[in-house]
Amino acid sequence: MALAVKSEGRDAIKRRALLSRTLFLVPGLTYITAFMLIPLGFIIAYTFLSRGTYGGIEFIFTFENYTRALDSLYIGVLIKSIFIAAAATVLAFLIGFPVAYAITKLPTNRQNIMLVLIVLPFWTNFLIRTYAWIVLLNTQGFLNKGLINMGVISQPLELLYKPSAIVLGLLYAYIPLMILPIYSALVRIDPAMKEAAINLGATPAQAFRQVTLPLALPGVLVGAIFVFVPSVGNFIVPELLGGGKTVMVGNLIRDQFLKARDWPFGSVLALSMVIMLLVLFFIQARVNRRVLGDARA
Amino acid sequence: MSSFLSIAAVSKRYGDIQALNNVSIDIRENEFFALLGPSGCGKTTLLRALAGLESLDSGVVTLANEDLLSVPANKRPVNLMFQSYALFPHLNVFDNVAYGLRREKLDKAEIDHRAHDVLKTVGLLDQKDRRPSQLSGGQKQRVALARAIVKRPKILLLDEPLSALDKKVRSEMQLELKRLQHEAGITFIIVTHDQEEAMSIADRIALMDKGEVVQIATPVEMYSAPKTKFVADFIGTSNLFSGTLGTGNISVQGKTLPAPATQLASGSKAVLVLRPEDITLGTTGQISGTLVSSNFYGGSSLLFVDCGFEQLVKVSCALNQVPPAGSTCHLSWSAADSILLADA
Repeated sequence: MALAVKSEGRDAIKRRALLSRTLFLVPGLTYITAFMLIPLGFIIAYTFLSRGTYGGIEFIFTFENYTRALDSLYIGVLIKSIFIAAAATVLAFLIGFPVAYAITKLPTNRQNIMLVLIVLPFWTNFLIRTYAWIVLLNTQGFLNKGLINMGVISQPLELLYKPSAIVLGLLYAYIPLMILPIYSALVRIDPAMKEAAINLGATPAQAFRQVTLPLALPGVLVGAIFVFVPSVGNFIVPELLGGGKTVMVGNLIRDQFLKARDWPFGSVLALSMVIMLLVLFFIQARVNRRVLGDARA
Repeated sequence: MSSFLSIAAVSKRYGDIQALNNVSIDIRENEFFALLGPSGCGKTTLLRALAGLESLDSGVVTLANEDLLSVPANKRPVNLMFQSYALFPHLNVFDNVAYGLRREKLDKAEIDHRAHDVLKTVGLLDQKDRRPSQLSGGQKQRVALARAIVKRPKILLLDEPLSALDKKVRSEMQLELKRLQHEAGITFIIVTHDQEEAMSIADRIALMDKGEVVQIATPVEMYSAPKTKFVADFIGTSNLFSGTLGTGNISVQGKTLPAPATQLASGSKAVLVLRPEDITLGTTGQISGTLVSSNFYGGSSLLFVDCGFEQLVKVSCALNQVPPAGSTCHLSWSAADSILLADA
């Protein structure tokens, strides 16, 4: 009898814990459902439907949108986008890692100042920041004028409106997203790790390569995803710095919805981006587990 | 006395803090040596300096008559077991242990052989494919130990090796450390703030305070013949009575207590040190008071008696003889068992 009362009490406690947990999840779940899952559902549904004459869709089932996406024209755009975004990502790593590493070596209060400085450009409008590069790089721009005045070159260089300008623009725009996760991975490494490696006979360079770098790898991958994903889908930078000549997937999706008014095909392209992102996150999670070991086992 | 590791007049300053002040210690080969002291006494700084992870401002350190300080940290025949263990989370147990051997560019067969050997010694051969995150605290500690001794260092440094373990595992590990030290024939230097641990594990102890060595002695010597009031207070449990010395007695807070024979001049400030186990309960005594409380420690109890001093007098007492709280206790001791020290 006493036992029955006790177990009932325990059930009530469990129920209450479950209820409070559910309550805290409600705002987040509502947001995700309303602004992500439902729109995603629409997009997936659109991919199987036909385009309306003035945008929108008509309820005629078809696979045509998918077969069209396999056209070499679009595959070429996709590959070019991936290539440009990958170049920006690799450069962001090569520049961002030393920066993040250097910040961890500063006194704590200076570290915070540096991190604020790195995020500071985000306070300016993205469009304006990208326009600024046109001012810097065009044939009459600061860079060309400066180089001519210094006598380094006699003719202005064509710096804008080519893939390298897009890479530069993407690199500039997203490098903070590489630095921050690498920094946070590096500061979490126990300084004793590197000391242990040295104590066991490693040179400082070996300690860095064999201990610090592998332990920072999860942060590097997060940074790589944070730079790669918005880069590959970006349409502002290719439009402004690529002069509209280099079409990337982002431009293509935007054009399908706003210019060609082919919503179903735009949906297919958008969905392919989502799937690529999921694959990248899956790889990142796998590596994370490999590096840090599975604590749950 | 042959000195294996000789630390001579080393000093280290961090800004306003004198971490090490003219510290000299001689450590013998195969000795189990403890650096003991409260936190901030400089013991960890000294340990890290021996490992080459910290530089010294001045002083000389020689190992087997060769200068140690000019050897780079990764070439010293000195291995350190870190307080946090610092196991590499991305490597499994075997690779953690083999890491140091691989840096020596030994051939694979020897690395395998030695790593297996040492894992067997610490009883973790079955866990060799596991990651550190999958091990218990005690197992992690064994891996850290294995990783350090597999290098066959001349000196093994241990930074608070047992502080993260619970009490039972701790005493097991203490025994195991002693056994290992004996078998491996390596000089061990352990850093600890736990005097009980230092007393039970070490051959000799250097007690440090505020960057200076206060006393170097065997555990028994340090307990029975503390050099200063700090030592008497830090090592073991003791009653300290500060007062003015008379002839054959000491006046403490208006009461007169018998004092042992001494070189100190009468009229000088002194401390009388009285260990709880040297005091007996009886029907008469030098001082009397009321029993305030008693703490039970397994075989014996520690009584707290209010004898009218600022502090309660601690008396150890066999379990079956503990009087009820509130009863009057008469405390007596032989003056020869007490220790008299100059009070600064």
